[in-house]
Amino acid sequence: MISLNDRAYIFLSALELSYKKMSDIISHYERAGDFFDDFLNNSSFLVEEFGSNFKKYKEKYEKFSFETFEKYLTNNNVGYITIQSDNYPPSLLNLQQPPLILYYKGDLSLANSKGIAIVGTRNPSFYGKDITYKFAKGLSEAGFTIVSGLSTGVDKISHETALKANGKTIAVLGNGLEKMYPAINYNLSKEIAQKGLLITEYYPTYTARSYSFPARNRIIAALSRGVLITEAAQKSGSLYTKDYALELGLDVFSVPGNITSLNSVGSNNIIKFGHAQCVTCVEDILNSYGINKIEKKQEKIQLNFDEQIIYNSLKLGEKSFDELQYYTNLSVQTLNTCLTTMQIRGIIKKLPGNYYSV
Amino acid sequence: MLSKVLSYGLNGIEGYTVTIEVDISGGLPKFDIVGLGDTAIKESKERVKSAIKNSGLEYPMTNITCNLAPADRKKEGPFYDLGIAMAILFATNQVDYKKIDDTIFLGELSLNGDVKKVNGVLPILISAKEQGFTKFIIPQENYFEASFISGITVHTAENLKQVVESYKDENTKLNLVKTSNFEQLKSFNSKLNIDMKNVKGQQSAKRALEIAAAGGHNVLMIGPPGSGKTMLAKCFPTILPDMTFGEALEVTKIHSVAGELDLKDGIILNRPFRTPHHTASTVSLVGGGTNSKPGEISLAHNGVLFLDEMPEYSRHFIETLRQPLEDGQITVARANQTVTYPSSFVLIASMNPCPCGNYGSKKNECRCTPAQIHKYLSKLSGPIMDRIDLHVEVDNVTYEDLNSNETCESSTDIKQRVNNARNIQLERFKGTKVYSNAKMNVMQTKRHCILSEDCKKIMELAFDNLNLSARAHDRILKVARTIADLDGEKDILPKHIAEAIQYRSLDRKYWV
Repeated sequence: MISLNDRAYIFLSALELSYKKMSDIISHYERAGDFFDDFLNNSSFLVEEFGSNFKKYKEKYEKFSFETFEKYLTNNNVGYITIQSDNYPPSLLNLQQPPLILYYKGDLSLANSKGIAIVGTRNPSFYGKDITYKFAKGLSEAGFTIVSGLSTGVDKISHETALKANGKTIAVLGNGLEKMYPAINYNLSKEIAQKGLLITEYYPTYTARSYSFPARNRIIAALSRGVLITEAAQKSGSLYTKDYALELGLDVFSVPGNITSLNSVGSNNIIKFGHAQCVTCVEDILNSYGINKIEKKQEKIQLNFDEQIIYNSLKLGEKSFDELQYYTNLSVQTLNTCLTTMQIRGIIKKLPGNYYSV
Repeated sequence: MLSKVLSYGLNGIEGYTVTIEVDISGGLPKFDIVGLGDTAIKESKERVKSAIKNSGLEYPMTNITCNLAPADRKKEGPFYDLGIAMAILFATNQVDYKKIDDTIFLGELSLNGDVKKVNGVLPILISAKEQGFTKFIIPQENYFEASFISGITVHTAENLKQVVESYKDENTKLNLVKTSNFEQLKSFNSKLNIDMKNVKGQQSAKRALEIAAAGGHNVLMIGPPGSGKTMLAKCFPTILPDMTFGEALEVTKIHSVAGELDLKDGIILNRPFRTPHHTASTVSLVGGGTNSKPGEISLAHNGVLFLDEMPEYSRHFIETLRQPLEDGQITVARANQTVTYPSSFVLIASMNPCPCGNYGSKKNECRCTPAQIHKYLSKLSGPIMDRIDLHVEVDNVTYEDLNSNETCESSTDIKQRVNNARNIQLERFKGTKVYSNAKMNVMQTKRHCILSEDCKKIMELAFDNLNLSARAHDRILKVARTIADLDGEKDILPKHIAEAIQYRSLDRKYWV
């Protein structure tokens, strides 16, 4: 049975009001549950607040069934917390606009764990993908919960890497739980619901709006101790996350990129303007939290003669197949064979366009 | 009076006997042709009439009825002009009817009586020979086409008058076709003016093409625009093993039916290289139309089908490639007839890595969204990717590459290795219908691609670490078999497996 207070929160969020309007209404009442009395009695305050939509909302209320909603919650393992709940994550209260209600799937306790946000462009370059992977893996292994926005690109890679490394991850959505956007991440969202936490301030049937994504960025920041931006173009949404993080007094980290790459303008700029700390390896982040990297025993790489030539050549920078052949003077067949075995052993990587790097 | 003359019709590349019957009876002048002829046959009465008149012979001004038997089969093309004219002349006794024997007449007539070339002479001769016919009169222009079939007597005629004279006068003989020597012809005709040595750089792509040629594998080349994919593909036929006489005849048959045969050679000596444009209709590519003509994929039989920018082709067409890629033949079913054409070709496809073409390029930045790239790549369905053994990434050629004086291997050298590998395969598949590693079925793959423990370990590691999809497994085995054959090794060694894995880049998930 849902309490009357909670019902007010749920019903108001189902109306898809703006944050300001909803918080105005909630704060008008001492107990949120009093809203319903006023609503049914057509109080002047609510008539004014809802304006022309009042009649529409009235109709909606008549159709709205809390029993069905409760059934939905149990059937789909969905939970909710309001700002008044005991288990409301305290870190969110630091926000200027703390979410009034949160719907979630998965392990809510993660919201109080040691989180770090990894955000960036939806369309990363290979470099962006690579470093996102590296940082997500390193931070995940160091015990951080990876917080991100379940978008494509950097967000997706961060979540996937955390899951793969058996780490924890939180996905903050800009849409309702039943209106997954982008649809390509549907399977990933199911996996996160099982192994991590899927959380949103929007009613389950809320479809994503252009403004709901920047808004969810404040939750991403608030659930984290620091924000890492791996690759961001000049006008990237991830820069909003940075702004929220600075407001909250959190650490912001940024990985520098190629200065000629349009994809890295944003992430380079925030380093240039002193908004973010420049990081080039996972240890840089761990150090600022006073964590010592768990020493992994360095595996000694055994290479045969041909492989050593290739390795030495690639250490100087990535090379295409033809360039490698030119520098190493190996036959195409030997080169192909060595490259595969070295890839399998994780010594080198193949990049798109037949390029290789260590 | 009644007369009967033999001719031949074609259903696809298989022929059947057509009997031309002409009956001349009294009545008003009239000329009817019955027996399900197409427009070309209906119109042939005008040509026959003028040709007889203009050859100084007499056209009977009475009621002429001509029947093409069997009456239930649709007949098409102007094969029968010469036969009909001769049947009329026999029926009117202008040529002694007693002299008629089992000669098969083929040829179109022009109004002045000249005998003009017809398409499909070679397949007709081959199937008529199988049915026991030995005497033919064909147009002079089709001389060389006929010269590769031994054991039959073929005469060529330039005009109707010659044919009539040969029946009237013992001393005038028609031109007899002499058998030409295929091997001899090949040796001084198979010079192509392209060569692998002119392709600078692109070592990995060249190696992939060598493997493809050796094992008959299909290849997909992925690379930015201007990286030389088309040029590489054009050079591919130069490293394929030479066609045997049997293969050449098969190819010539199809080209003869399609009317694409160069009549000066009479036979196709080089492996066909077909590059249909992506705007071509599916019917023109696959075959069909009212006459069930062979399409581009059949014309590429025993050769190469090159699909430039493969995702630009219609999805429908790409999916129709599935049967021919699997069975080496295509069945074209139409209302009139169902025809099966051979279409066993090596598919060389090229594509850009993304819609803008720059994904992975070091020169230009790609601005495609992941969804766009995903959509572009997903135009090639899984079943089609299943049939392409080798994926090779082609990168941009640098200016230094183009200007280097470094000599590359010539096609002849590569071809030598390819031929050796093919010989090993012919030995291996003796007595089966398979000629190359690429066409091995599951059982044969199991028997001929036995992996040692070391090889299995590499495979396992590769699948774990390189995100290979399951469908890659058998492809890698077959390609590794071919690489081992190129090396002359009896067993597949770890290095062969390692190299084969290099050619599965599209299976790797980093692409999207």
